[in-house]
Amino acid sequence: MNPDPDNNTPAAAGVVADLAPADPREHIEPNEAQRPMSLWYVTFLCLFFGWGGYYVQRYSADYGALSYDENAGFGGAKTNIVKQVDPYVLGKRLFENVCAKCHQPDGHGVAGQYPPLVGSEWALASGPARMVRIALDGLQGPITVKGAGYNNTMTPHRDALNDQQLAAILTYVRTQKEWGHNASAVAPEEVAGIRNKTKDRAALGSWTAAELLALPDHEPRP
Amino acid sequence: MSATSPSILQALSPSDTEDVAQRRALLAEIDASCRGTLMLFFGAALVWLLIGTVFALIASWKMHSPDFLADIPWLTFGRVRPAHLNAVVFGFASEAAIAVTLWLICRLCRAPLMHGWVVNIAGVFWNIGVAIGIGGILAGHSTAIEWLEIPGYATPLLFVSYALIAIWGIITFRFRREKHLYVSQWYLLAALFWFPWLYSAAQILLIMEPVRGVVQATVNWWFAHNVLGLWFTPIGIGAIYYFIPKVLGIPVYKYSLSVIGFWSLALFYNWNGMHHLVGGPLPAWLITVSIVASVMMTIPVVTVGLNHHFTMWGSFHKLKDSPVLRFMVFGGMSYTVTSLHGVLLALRSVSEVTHFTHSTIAHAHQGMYAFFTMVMFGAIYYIVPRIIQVEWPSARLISIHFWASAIGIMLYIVPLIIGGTLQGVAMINPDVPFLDPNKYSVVTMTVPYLRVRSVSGFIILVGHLAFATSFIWIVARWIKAARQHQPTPIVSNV
Repeated sequence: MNPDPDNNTPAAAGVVADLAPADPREHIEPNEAQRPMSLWYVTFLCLFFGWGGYYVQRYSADYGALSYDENAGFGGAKTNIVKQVDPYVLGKRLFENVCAKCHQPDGHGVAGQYPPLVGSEWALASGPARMVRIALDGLQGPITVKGAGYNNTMTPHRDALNDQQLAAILTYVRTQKEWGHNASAVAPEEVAGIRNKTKDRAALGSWTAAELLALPDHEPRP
Repeated sequence: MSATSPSILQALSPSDTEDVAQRRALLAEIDASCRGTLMLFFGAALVWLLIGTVFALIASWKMHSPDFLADIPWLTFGRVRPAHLNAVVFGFASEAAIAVTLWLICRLCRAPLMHGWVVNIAGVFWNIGVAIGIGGILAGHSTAIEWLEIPGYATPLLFVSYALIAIWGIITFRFRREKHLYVSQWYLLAALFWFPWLYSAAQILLIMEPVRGVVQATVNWWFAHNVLGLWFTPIGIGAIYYFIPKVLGIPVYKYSLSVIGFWSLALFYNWNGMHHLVGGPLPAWLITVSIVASVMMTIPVVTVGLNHHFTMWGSFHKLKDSPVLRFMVFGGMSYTVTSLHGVLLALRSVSEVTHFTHSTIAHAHQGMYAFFTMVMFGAIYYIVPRIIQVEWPSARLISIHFWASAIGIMLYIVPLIIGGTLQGVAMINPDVPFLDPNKYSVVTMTVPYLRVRSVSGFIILVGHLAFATSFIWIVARWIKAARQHQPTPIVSNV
């Protein structure tokens, strides 16, 4: 139809087809040709849909909101939902973040300021009753650890750490192999019990050594 | 009018039959109705393109020379980079997209743009919104949410302007005189509906009533990915579907491919985005579904690619003469390449290496520039001479623009994809330090690739300056012609 179908080759300078109704070099509006679909193309579509269906099913675990492991496989993810956390590992990490600032990463504290945990009769008592209280609501005033006197304050962690976290930290401190510790582990339930029992303590201020020494090592069963 | 004497239309275009001449007259009327609106949008888009390019160069330079302009708070990297993004995305790309969409809808519906002044007002307010937004970002009021950095006080302006424009496009469609819906119209119309859905959902969930935790990341990636796939991509594809057969004067290869290409895009694209969060604390199925949707994007991409390719088949020699075709084919091929590369990047094993590296940035530019922006350039070169009835003054400038943009963007993408992948390999290797000036470290190994990117940025800038020169020149001619001549007679009533 048109000798020069390209509408955009710039014409000679100054040639402005001012009166032309649209560009006379322009083709009329485009349309679509009707052709049958090829078998190759249909095969290609089927392959992709098949693969997509397989992949979604294979790598979605059980479609659960808490299933993060895509390799768990359908149904298998249910055992994966709650991962058992090793309290010693969790405790070590929390200890380094929370406790080590004063008690030092090696647990020896700072002479005259922060009492040591390594070999401490407070930490290695046969039961955790006093230690849980100190961790929950803090400690103030004079205290004797391993024969040395200290007079400082420890901050409360009642709102900062939950039962599982506190139990993990205390378990770590009581069972630190490098420190030669081999006391009993602390269960989250023990922490929860004492937390509940002493819930009014925060209003009274931190514990003093005298108050704590009046308590038994083991929490009496209610 | 006697049968022997030619009509005025035939006198003007003697080679046409009466029927074709009448269609041309209608096209001319449509073009005239869009004139002011489109020139406003194209002009503003050009200004934002230049501003965005300058921001891009500053940001790129800072990546290898961090001291550059480091003492000016307004031009620190954290502000310049989002300013670049928003200038090119909401300033340049969206305005060019809106103008091209309106023109294509008018032409394909055979309906002139009615009351174009409404769109003009919306356009002015859109530009004010973008200007306030970018000013806000530079002043430090960014929302810090990627792709949505424009501060809250500018977004309502953008949304209302956009709504007005989209409603006008849909009204034009409502009054169409052509029954057959050409494939381009499906894409354009869908994009007009998809964008406000994306934008309002993201604004509400991230800025007005922010969702918490990983849902925030999910919404952000969903928006950032879908604004490419459901706003820019359909307009780019719609434009290619129009311009390639239009310039060649032949029909699109296969109607059935057009249908499947469109609906598979509509079906799969929206699920994309979460594959960027591979390894993140998201439910496994959400990431898996996104990966599958990304891979399934092969269907629309290959389908559209085949349809365009076989339409071009046998006409590739015409690339030599037609700048419009050149931009369109470059854009179309880039779309295929970037999308298939994107499929690859979505796979867990690949994403673990390439994510959080420069290769993601290269991929984004391949989509936004090598595909979309090139298509928009081609469309502008086609549309502007028709609506203002003035020819482009210099073929050489157009040629410079094409080659600078094409070479510049390839020099951007290829080295940065390679460098980014090597960077990813280094990042997951615990033996490679993050920053150590004396040995192979993650930071130092990327520097040469970042320098190449700055060089490519200057080449692209040359192209944009050539484009700007052309545009200013043609507008000057248009104004001069308008002064010298009487207004063009209305030919539609003849």
